[in-house]
Parts: sequence; structure tokens; C-alpha cells
Amino acid sequence: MTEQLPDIDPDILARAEAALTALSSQYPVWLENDLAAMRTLLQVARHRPDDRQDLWRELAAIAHNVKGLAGTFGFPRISELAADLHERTAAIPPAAPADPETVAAMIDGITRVLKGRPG
Amino acid sequence: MGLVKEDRRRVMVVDASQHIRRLLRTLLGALEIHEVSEARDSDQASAQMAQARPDLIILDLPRDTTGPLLFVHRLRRGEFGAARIPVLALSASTHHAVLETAWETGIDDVIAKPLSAIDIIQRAGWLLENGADAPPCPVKAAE
Repeated sequence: MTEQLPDIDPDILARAEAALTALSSQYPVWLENDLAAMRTLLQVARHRPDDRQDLWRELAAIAHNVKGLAGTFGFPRISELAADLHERTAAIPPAAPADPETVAAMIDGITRVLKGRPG
Repeated sequence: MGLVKEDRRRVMVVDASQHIRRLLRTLLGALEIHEVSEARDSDQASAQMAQARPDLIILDLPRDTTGPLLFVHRLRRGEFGAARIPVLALSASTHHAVLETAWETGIDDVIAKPLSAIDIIQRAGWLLENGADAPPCPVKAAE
């Protein structure tokens, strides 16, 4: 198919860009919340190894959303790191579950980028 | 051209992420669509359909597509009333198997994540304007 989608009314586009810019300024707060939720899951996983598979699945879902939203809001490095974390925690059996220290290091990596201290 | 000029269009957003629901609600606001209902998953969406009566459903397709695809199947069977409400899916995967399954189930269009504001506005606007009688949804011409 070669038909193109209709052009967007400039007023609509301007409103969308303004709204997206306003939301972008809030995104670091959203991300902090997601990081806190992932750290909570990590802490539980440290103490409940038998539940790690389920806990990693929950963590992977958050990482997946971070991957998408960080990309949408213009944080490509965070999106890449979240994609790595998602891939590591969403491993499907019989792949070995990720160990907590690896997951902790990956969450710390995202945190460092958010705080402007990459690496 | 103007996308979506009719007043009081209703959209249902189905996504587990509160942040994504908020993003979509905000972008729909740019189309002057302010009647947006939200559901965390397809079960919650099913329960809300009678009251929400959406003109468009924006539906996340997670890795496990079972619930969302069953929801669309039930929608197309008329279990929630109007069977031809357009469905715009959001998917991290654009693998052909995922897309084929989506079309076969009755999903009208799929947007790949990460989400682009322009994509959402164009495709949601297209489906709202053309509604139940939508011709095959156009795609962007190859670059």
C-alpha cells in the first residue's frame, strides 16, 4: 500500500507537542517511581529465591514500560538500559533466572543515567 | 485537514501502565477528545464496555497477547454491543506473526512502541473519523 496518512492540522500538532513537552518534564518523576518499584521487587527477590521467577516477571513488565516511555520522552540511553534489564529478567524457562546482583547493577545503571552520572 | 472535529468522541485506553494511559489521554486531548475511559487490562475493559461505549479502543498488546486478543474476539462477536468499534493496538513487537494474528482477530491498526505522538494522533484520528465503515487503514508510504 502506498496511500499516505493524512497530514495533521498544525494546531493539533502544536497542542500535542505542548502537551508532550509538559509531560516530558514530569517523566523523571515517573521514572523514579518505576525505579523504586523495581528496587522493592529486587529486595523481595533477595529474600525469596523461590519466588524469583514471578518477581522477575513483574520487574520485567516495569522495565518494558520504562523502555517504551523513555524512548517516547527522549531518554534513549535509559530506554536501551531498560531493554537490557527487560531481556535479562523476562528470560523464559529453562533459561536461568537472573541473579539479584546483576539486576541491582542494571537498575543502578538506569539510576545513574537519570541522575546525569552515566557509567 | 482536521482530525476529529465531532464533539464528545469517546475513547477507551487499555494498558497496564498508568503512565502510558496518562500519555495517551494527554495526546487524545490534543485531538479535543476528553471522554477517555481507562482500563488496566482486558478483563477490566470488558467490564467497562457497556458504560464507556467507546468510539475507539486503544489496546496494549503485551508479550502474552491471550487476554487482549480474546477481548477483541469477543468485541467482534458483538458480546459488548457494537461489534465494529475500531481497535488500535500498541505493540512492542512488529513481528509479522504478531501482526497477522492481530489482523485476523480484528484489530484495525498496530502502532509499534516506543510510541510516537504523531503516529498516535494520525492513526487514532483516522480510525475515529472513519469509524465502523473505515476503508483499509492507509500506511505511510515507503521512505
